[in-house]
Parts: sequence; C-alpha cells; structure tokens
Amino acid sequence: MIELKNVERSYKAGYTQTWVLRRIELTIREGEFVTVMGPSGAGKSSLLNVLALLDDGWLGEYWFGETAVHTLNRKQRADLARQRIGMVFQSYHLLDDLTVAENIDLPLSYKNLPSNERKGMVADILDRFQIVAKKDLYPNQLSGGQQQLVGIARAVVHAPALLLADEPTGNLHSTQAREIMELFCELNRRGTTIVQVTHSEENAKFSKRIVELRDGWITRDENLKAQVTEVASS
Amino acid sequence: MNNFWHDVRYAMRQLRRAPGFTLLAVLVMALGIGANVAMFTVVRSVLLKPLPFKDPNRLLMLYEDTNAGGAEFPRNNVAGGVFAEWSKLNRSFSSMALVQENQADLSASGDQLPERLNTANVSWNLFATLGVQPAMGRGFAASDDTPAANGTAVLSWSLWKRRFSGDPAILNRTIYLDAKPYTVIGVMPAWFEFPYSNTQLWAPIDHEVEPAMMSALDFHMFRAVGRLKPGVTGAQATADLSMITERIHNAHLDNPFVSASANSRPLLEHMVGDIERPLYVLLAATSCLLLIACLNVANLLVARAVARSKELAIRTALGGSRMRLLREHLMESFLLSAMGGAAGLALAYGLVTWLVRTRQDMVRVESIGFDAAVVAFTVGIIALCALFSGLISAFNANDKRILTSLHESSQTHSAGSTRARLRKALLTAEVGLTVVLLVAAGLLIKSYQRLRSTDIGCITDNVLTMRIALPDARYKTPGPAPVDFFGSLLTRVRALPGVQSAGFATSVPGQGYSGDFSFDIAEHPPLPRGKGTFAINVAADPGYFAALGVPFLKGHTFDDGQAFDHVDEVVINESFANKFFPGEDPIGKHLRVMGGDKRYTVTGVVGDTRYAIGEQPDPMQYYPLPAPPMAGDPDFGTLVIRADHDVIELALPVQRIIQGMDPSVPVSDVLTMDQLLNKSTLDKSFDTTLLSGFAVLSLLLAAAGLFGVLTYITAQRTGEIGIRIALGARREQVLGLMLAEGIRPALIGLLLGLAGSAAATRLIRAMLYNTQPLDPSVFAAVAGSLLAVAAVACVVPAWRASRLDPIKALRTE
Repeated sequence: MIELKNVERSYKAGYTQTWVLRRIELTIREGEFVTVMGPSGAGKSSLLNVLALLDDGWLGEYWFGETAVHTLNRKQRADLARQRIGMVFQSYHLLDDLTVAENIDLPLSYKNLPSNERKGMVADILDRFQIVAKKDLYPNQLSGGQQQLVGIARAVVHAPALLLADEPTGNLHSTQAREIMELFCELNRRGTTIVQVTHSEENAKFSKRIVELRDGWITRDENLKAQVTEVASS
Repeated sequence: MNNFWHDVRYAMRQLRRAPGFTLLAVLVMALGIGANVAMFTVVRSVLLKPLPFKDPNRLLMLYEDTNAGGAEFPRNNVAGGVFAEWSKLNRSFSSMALVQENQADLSASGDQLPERLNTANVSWNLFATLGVQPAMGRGFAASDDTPAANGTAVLSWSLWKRRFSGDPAILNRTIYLDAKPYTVIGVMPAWFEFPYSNTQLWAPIDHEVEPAMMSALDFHMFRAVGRLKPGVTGAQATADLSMITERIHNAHLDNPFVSASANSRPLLEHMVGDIERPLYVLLAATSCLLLIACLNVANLLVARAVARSKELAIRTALGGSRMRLLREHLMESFLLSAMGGAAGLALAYGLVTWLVRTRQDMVRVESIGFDAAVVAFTVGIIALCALFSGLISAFNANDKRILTSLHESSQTHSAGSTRARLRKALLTAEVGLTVVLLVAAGLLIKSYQRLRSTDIGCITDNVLTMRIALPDARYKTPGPAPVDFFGSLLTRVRALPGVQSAGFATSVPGQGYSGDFSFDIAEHPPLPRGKGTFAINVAADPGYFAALGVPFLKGHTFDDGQAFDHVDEVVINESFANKFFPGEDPIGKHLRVMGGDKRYTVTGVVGDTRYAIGEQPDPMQYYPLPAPPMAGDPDFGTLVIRADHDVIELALPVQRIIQGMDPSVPVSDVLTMDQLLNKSTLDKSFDTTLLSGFAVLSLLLAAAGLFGVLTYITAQRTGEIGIRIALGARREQVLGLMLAEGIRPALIGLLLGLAGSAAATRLIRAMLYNTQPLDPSVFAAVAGSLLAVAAVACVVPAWRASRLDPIKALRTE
C-alpha cells in the first residue's frame, strides 16, 4: 500500500543541516498495523508527517498504492490525503467551539459531501463508537479518553484506507489507553491499515509490526507474528 | 505613595519593552485627543464663552418680523423710521443702537495705495450699549452723529497697527474715506469685533446715511442691538417692540412693506447662529474619533494582556491581588493616555493655529485660544480615555481568566476565544462609529458636489470679476458722473487684446443678495390695499448679459440710447416673468418702481441666475445704469470680463487702465468666476473637508483595528488552523474562514452603523443641499467602501493563515 524509497528529510538551522530522516526504505502492506518506536528526536513524528502528506520537504520516492506521491504537487497531495488518510493526534486536537458531532463532521465538510450524506456518516460513527449520547457536548465536557475516542471517530469517519496515530494514548491513563488500542485493533480487523507512533511497549504489542527509528535511521523492522528483520544501518 | 511610584516605574518599564505597541497606542490617542481638544477649544471659544461685553446676557439683536409680497422674513433688518419709534417709545431697553455694514475707500497716502475697507455705520451710543470703551481716544458723542457734523471715525486695532503702524499720534489725525475727510477719534481694543470680525472702521450712522433712509419705514437696511433694562426678559421686550411696530403698521396700512411685529434673540445667538450647527457636528465627529481611538487602544491592550497572560498568571499565583493587578494595568493605560494627551495637546495647538489662520472670516475667530478650561478638559479627557481603554481591556484579564490561561491546554483549540470575542465586540463598535462618520461625510460631500454643480445661470469659465467703488465725494455732481467713468472703462477694457466681451453690473451671480425694489405693473389692476410686490434689482450695462452668457429668452437688451443717460427700459428674468406675468407676454408691458410714476418698458426676458450658489433663482429686474430713482447713480459694482483663455492674465492690464483713469479708485475682489463661487462656498467646503478628514482617519483606525484583530485571531488559532489543514481543509477554505472571521464584525458594525446613521444624519439635515439625509447612494457607497477596506485589512492575515504549515502549526502546541 505504501512504499518509501530512500526518503530523507532535513531541516536547516542557521548554517547547519539537521537530518531527521535518513534513507528510509519502508513498505507497508494493506491491512497492516505498524508501530513506529524510538527515543525522542529519533524522527518518528517526522516520518508520520511524511506519511500523512503534511510535509512536503522530503526527498526520495513515496508510493501510495499506484500513486507516485513524489510526483504530485501540493494540492494533489492534499487531495490524496483528504480522501485516503485519517489522523489521530496525541493532544486530540478537538476544536472546543464545536460539539462532538460537529468535530466529527469537520473532515467530511472539507470533502463537499451533501449534508444528508454527512449527517448519516456522522450518525453511523457515533453509533459505532457508542458516543451518541455525547454528540451535543463540547470537548471540555468530556474526559481525556472520551476526547481521544472522538478524535479517532473523527479520523475514521470518512473511512480512510490509512489511519495514522501520533502517540494516541500519550495523555491517557492505562485503562483508557487499553480501550483505545482495542479500538485500533477492531478498526484494523475491519481492514484499516494503521501506523501508530508510540513510546509504549504495551501499546506496541497490539500491533503486528514494529519499526524502530534512531537518529533518523530505521534500526529495526520487526514483524511480531513472524521473523525479525534487522535492517542495516548503512 | 511608594506603591504608586512603583506602579509608574513598572508601567514605564513595560511600555519601554514594547516600543512598537507604545508608539502606536500613543499615536492613536494623540489623534483622538488632539482632534477633540482642538474642536472643544473652538466650540468653547466661539459658542460657549460669553461675549466680551458688559453683562452680555442682557444684549439682544432686534429684528422686524415682516410678511410682504407673499414672503415671510421673521428676522428682517430694521427700517430707520421704525427704529426711531422703538427708541422713543420702548420701556424695556436701557439703550438701543443701529448698525449698518458698509464699505469705504481709504484714500492713498504717501506710498500707500488706496484700500477698500469693511466698515460699519453705527449709532453714536453703540459702544456704550455694548459696554465697551475704546482702547485709545474716545467713542462717538451724540454731536458726532448728525448729518451736519464733521466726519469722525474709530479704527479697529488691526487697521491701526497695519495701516498706521500703531502710531500713537493717530488721534485727531485726518484720514480720507471715499475722498471725504474724517478725524480719527479712537481705536478699539484688539479683541473687539462687531458686527463682523473683518470690520475695520466705525463711523456715525446719521452722518453717513441720508436722512430719508433714516426715517423710512419700509427700507429694511439696518441691524439693531438693544440692552435690556434690569429685570426685563427678552420675551417681554419683544412684546413691547411688537406693540410699537403694530401701531406703526396700522397707521400705514397702504404700505405693504411696513412690518407688523418685532422679533429678537440673544446677541451671541445672532452672531454664531450660522456656524453653531456645523461646529457641534464637527465636535460630535471628533468625539466619535476619540471613542474609536479609545476602542483601538483598548484592543491593543487586550492583545497585550493575552501576550502577557502567563506572566499575569504567575503574579496571581504568587499572591498578586486582583486590585493590585488592575492598578498596574490601569497605570499602563493612564501613561499611554497621558503621553497621547501631551502629543494631542501639541497637535490641537497646531490645528487651532491653522484653523484661526485659515478661517479669519469666522465669527469670534479672535477669541479662539487655549486657556485653563481647555487644559482642564484635556486632563479630564486623558483620565477618561485611560479609564475607558484600561477597564475594557482589564475586563477580560480578571484573575479567574488569568489562572484559566495556565490551564488552557493544547488538547482543545480556539483557546482565548473570550478575548477574541471581546476584541471583535470592540471592533464592531469601532466600525459602527466609523460608518456614522463616513455617512455624514459622504452626505456632506454629495451635498457640496451638488452645490458646486448647480447651474448658476451664467458662464463661469474664463470670466474675471473685480469690484470697483468710486469715492463718493469725487463722483457726485458736479463731478464726473459714475456712469461716465464706467462707460469709459468698458470701452477701454473691450479694446484690450484677448477680451471677448465685458460688462458691468451692481451685482453678479454668486455675490449675494443685492437688495430689492417694490414695483407694480401698469397694465395690471391695482393690488389690494396692503399688498405689494418686490423683486431683486440689479443695474447693468447693455453688454452685461452677453459678457456673462445670460441668454435672452425673449426680446432684447437695453437700447444703446438707454445707456448711462436716459432710462425707461427694464429687462426681467424668467422667474419674474413666470411669477408676475403668468400666461401673458411681458414684452412691452410697463413697471412702476417704488411707488413712482415713471414707467419702465419690459424689453427682454433673460434666463435665471442665482444671487448665491445654493439659493433658488428669484425674480429679478435689471435696469440700465443709472438705476431707477431712489437708488441714485450706482457708484460701485462689478466689472465682468470674458476671454478666450487665461482670463486671469487680463487682471493686471485692466487694473492698469483703472489706475490710469483715476489712481484713487481702489479695485477689490479680483476673482475669476470660479474663485468667486469657491469663496461663497468656503464654509461648506471647510466643514465638508474637516468632517471627511475625521471620517477617513476613523476609517484608517478601524482598518488598523481589523488588521490587528485578525492577526491576533490568526495567532490564537494557529493550532486550530493546522488541525483543519491536517484534516483536509483546503487553503482556500482556510482563507475563506479567516476572511469571514474578520469581515463578520465589520459587517455587524456596518449594519449597526447604518442604523445609527439613519438616526444621526437628521442632525445635519440643515447642512445639506439637495441631498436627502437617507440618500441611498451615499449609504451604499459607504457600505461598499467599508467592506472593501475591511477585506483589504483582513486579506493579509487571512492569507498568512491559509499559508500556515500544518506541521509548524501543530508543533506550536
């Protein structure tokens, strides 16, 4: 589904160039649940931003299915992301002036879907996530776990092929974190490809594959259900 | 006290740390306070300060209330005969005096050229009635105020200083006015101006005006001022004069021009009546500007409070009481207002100086100046601005909110929306006030345009005018008749190369009301007893109409044989024909003037002209030079010259011709027709320019406010915008969202402002010419311009928002 070939990302700070991703070679197949791990500053979030098509400044090749992302312009990339990718943030990033239902509707509203269709999709997702009773509440009236639940509902409401999650349980206690991870597994079972970034070994165990980054290099790519692949750090 | 100084030092340090903010806030305050202090100074000096006369509240301006010829003149000038009766019979006034504005030629002396002066003929007791003593010499005595007395004159301070270099030996010196000798007996104080600010010399009225005029009951040509006896009210005095007037009227029922009652109003009201409303409107405009400035500064302070919210939260957490924080906050706004006020005072001084220099024609202009009351007003306004902007911005910075700011996590967005709402509310008010000012300015501009585009009834391009007055003493019989002088002058002027045509008339369009004659039509049945007809009269040479391009609708101009010697023809205008000859041909009909027997044949009907721009055309009767009996030979008038191009280049050659004919004849008001019209609309042009200036300033402040608020909101919503983009929002959607964010308060403000304008413009109805207070085109233009300016102000921050890098935006979290 996703293939990164020799992807690199660096930032210029004054006269120095700081590399955050080095020669990334990564293939993610459809239906996988991948965890990206590594210490702070390893490049996890940078990799996620590249995958999410939020970042344009990388070099190399990025294939999303048959689409050569590296040949697309900014607008085409945004269109692709809008159609195929969902994002879950560590800080939930709900808009506090909008109700739960309005927050979930937000990505749909950017797709120019008919209002009735959008209402139906929001109602479905509220039902599926069992938060119908909360639909008219504002984010600050919800617990952290409930807010992240809404964040995930918002990310998957348009049925993206790829769900990206950046420390989705970073602000939650263990019980809530576990519930979120189970939800991810459920989504994965239903066919959504998931890539999550986390520090938590516990959460990583819910995924099928772990990719570890250090100083921008992939240092480990481990399939939890099969063989372990050491990646040369050449 | 220690705390106070600590607060001052702390506030100063804070302001020094943010020089950009400080400079902007001080500048905005200076504009608002400066404009306001300047207008207050003018309003107080001109309208509110008592007249500098003794017991000014007891001084009344007196009028006849005339109803004649189908027209009403509730504040008509007073006839000499009526005034004499008032003086003799009234029981309400301790003294009464007559005034007549006039002009006189001050003869050349030494190397000084002859000069046309604005003078006043006054009753000998005018100065005593007003309670004013000359600064030098004496005022008039009763013996000076007789036809047989030697000529005496009192000079204004400025004339004495300018023309006579302040020579202390001026008293008892002989000067020549209209070539007649006058002894200077006094000089008035520098502050004294009456009846007008440009009056330069006073002479006794009975000495100047023919006895027939002084005793006529129907020649309304004087102004009268009276000092009430103690305990008598204005209403009682008016009733007293009305009773006397009615008695005169009843004794002369045959004469329709003898008034039946009297009228009065306080002297101050009379003097400032014309400028009272425009000045109050301008003061209201500057008050709006000040409010807008305060709202802008409050907005800046809110933004600053947000930037410092963490610091304030820490202070609160460390035990800073709400009062203490409020005090520090108010000290900052007080310092800003004080600095703005100091700069504003300097600005106001500049504005007032400019105004006094520009508008020397304004009544009581000499009294305009700064005094303790203005300083107190400035201090008061500084305190008010400090409290207003300080408290509004402090409203959203109470300790609860400050602590909340520490808890405002990045988990949800639109943090600080309360402050954004407050800023938007302030902005809405700002825009609303701006709209009111813009609409008022728009209406005045439209009114002025209409005024200036009024067809005055004659050609105005490449027409030069100049006023000429012949010295009485030398051009009365047995000397050379004025008509000979004017005839000879016209012949020479017409011979100048480049002159297309030239003419002469006692008054030309745009120069004001030139007086009227009563008349009756010989072919019409006699009017009922007590009824009369009158029309404006002008004396003109036969070439006048062609020179000014006034078209002949019927008939022709005066015959050549009419000119200057024998007169029995008259030309009327279209309004005259329509009003007095409805459905009949006036050509060949005859007018009798002023109750005389001589018949004047109507030889032509010309198009209407307006005596003043903005006035409707009135019936007019043109007589050849010299005019009909009672007017005598006109010894003054206006020369009009039309050229193919650059008519102003003819000014010097023409003046040389006049000087060659008689060096003692002064020429004044050398103006092109366009300049003449500009001069006559100076008041309106000035009011319009000033109000428009304030409105544009308000618009700039509102635009700056919009820009600031949207920049602030963009900064506040950076995270939210990042999320929206991450969730799929297109750049153009973000642009639209942010534009709407800025335009919305502007739109609400616009609607409120338009509603407010609908109510407020009633106040300027009287200042508008041919323009409705609810003129839809002005309202639409203001709405369009405001939205355009709002869009321009919003587009930069909105564009920036739409260009946000979502990764960076989210990283700020």
